[in-house]
Amino acid sequence: MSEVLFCAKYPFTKSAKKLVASRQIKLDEIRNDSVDRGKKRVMVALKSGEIPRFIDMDNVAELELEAYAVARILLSLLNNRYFINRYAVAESKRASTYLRDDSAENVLRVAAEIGLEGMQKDGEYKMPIADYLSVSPSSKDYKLINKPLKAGVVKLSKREFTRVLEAAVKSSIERSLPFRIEDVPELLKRAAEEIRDEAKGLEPKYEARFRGGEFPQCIESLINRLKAGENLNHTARWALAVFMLNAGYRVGEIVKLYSYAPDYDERITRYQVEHAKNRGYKMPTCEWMRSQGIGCLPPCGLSTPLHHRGKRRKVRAEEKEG
Amino acid sequence: MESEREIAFVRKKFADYYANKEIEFPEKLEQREWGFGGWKDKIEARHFSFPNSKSLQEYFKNNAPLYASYSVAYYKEPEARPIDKKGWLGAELVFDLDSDHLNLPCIAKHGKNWVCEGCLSEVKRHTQRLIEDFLVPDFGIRREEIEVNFSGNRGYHVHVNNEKLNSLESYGRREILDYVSGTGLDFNRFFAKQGARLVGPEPTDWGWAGKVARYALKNDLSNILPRSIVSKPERLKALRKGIERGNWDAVRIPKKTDVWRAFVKDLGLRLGREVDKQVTGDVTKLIRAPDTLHGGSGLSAKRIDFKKLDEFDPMKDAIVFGEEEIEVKVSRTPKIKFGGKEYGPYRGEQVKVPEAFGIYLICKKAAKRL
Repeated sequence: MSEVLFCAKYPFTKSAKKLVASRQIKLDEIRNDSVDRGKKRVMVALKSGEIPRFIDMDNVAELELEAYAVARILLSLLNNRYFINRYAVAESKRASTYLRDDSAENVLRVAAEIGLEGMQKDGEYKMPIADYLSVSPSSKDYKLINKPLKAGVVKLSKREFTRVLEAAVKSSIERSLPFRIEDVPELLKRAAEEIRDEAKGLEPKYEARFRGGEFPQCIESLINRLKAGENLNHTARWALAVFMLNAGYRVGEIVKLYSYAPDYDERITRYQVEHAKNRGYKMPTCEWMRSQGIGCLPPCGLSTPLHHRGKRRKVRAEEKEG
Repeated sequence: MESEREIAFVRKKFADYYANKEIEFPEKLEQREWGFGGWKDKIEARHFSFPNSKSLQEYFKNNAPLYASYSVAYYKEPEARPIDKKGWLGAELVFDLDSDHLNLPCIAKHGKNWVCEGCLSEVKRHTQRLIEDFLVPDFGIRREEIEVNFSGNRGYHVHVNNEKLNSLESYGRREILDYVSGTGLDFNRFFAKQGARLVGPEPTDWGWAGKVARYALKNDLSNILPRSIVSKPERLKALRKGIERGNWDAVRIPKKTDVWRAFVKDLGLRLGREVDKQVTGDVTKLIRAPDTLHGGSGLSAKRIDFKKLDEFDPMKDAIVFGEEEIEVKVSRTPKIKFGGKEYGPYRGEQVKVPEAFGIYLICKKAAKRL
């Protein structure tokens, strides 16, 4: 694979940054069509949550690299956390599709270039525990206790290793944006404004209200994190959905709430919420919520978040009587 | 209870102790936040910082704090407040093992305020398991990166100083905690049915899989297996032989999945309820400074060479005060072993006891000076 192809596939790597820097393109030298490509990259990520692969040719790769650089400038100008996180999810998924098909050598090179150690032997990958824990996706499948761990090293399949890299890419893009940028040419400013216009309506607006008062603190914190564009892990999403279902919310309302998630896909979300509803999941206890790191802090003293409503109502009823 | 006389007495004794004691302070001292406590609270004031060990030693001499804790974290500006202004640079990985977390049956006998030999040996066993079964073999932590000290009351603190792990945020720390406490272990990931046969982990497997198999081979299984197997050595032997190869079905066990599920559930270290576990998960926590005195016992939170942990007896080796007799009025206590002697149980009586034990009782708020 040529260097430019590697860089275009993995534009967030040190090598890619170096390559782009070596071109010494000034802000006011960025051409119209490059701006267009950058804008397109952002828009398609925001709309579909994915960024398509490019045709495997060096000259196309050059354009891809430019588009990535411009996209980052545009997102910095827009300075919108929801856009940035949704874009980061799309970029990391795109990288993941390349990593899955790529050689071990390249997979390890990408890891090293985003600051993660890795080893590979006979198709088996390994990662030092501190690296693993700093980036592993917070889902049941990647929970440390269920992973083979020895002498400070976690053993992973190629699929798992690339999934860990995907999570690392996502959070590194999230952290690196927005960056400060000065003396921005009109062309770029205009493109950013166009995105803002075209993306109107993409940003979720749904306001969940808890009938007759506030949500329990643990649930409210999940909702706030979701609204802040955080990619809640599976457990947190599940707990939130089960709470909402048990509290009597309709599937449609819950789906709207999840539209804040940066990797939101209406069809999949609806399917999952309906599935949870059909299964009739019971609300887990506060103790369980705490064990998953999503309980009330300080502890609320209830046994299940659902009691929160009952308790409040009772208090209110007494107040009325009084 | 009017306790001013007691407070003054204990403070005087603590001051005498600190006047002649050189304390070995933690690494990166100038980047730590300190907190100090008094008779009422273990931490009454925090956000202190000290540029060097001399200034800290001065503080101890002048103030004789009843409790001294420092931050597991190190900061750019440890005295800044609120916490997010301090500039977090990293934090030691700390485990707080307390006999109170172990749900031991003896608690019913002596109550929560007291510890017995059983409590102390069980919490020591947990501490050794943490190091020998988890930190060293699984996490690859070198022994010289581990420091153990008595908590000063009824447990042990294990500090891990590993450059890479020190930078972990809360999420990673909680994962480590879940790992050592067996929380979230997914039985179905380790056991599978092949046809009717139950296939499970082998002793050489990495991580918890191998652990589960090794525990099954090593532990006494008589509590969980039916009598029909336990009573026949040849069947137990066959079962063990099967497990060595990952065949958990070498001997017919009724409701086998439930049996092994129950077995696996109880293998983790008991590190207390979620609220207490925060010591490891909380990257801004203050923890007892090793080699300082604990105002709830008058004992030293003594550093221990963990090769010698086996012989360490806190009720002997963590005593710092003397033998000279003092007279106290003791309220109500169980039988207590202290400094190699047995005392009590007391039921509101006046006794002459060695000063160290008297201070212990007073700090436990179970005695007054006469």
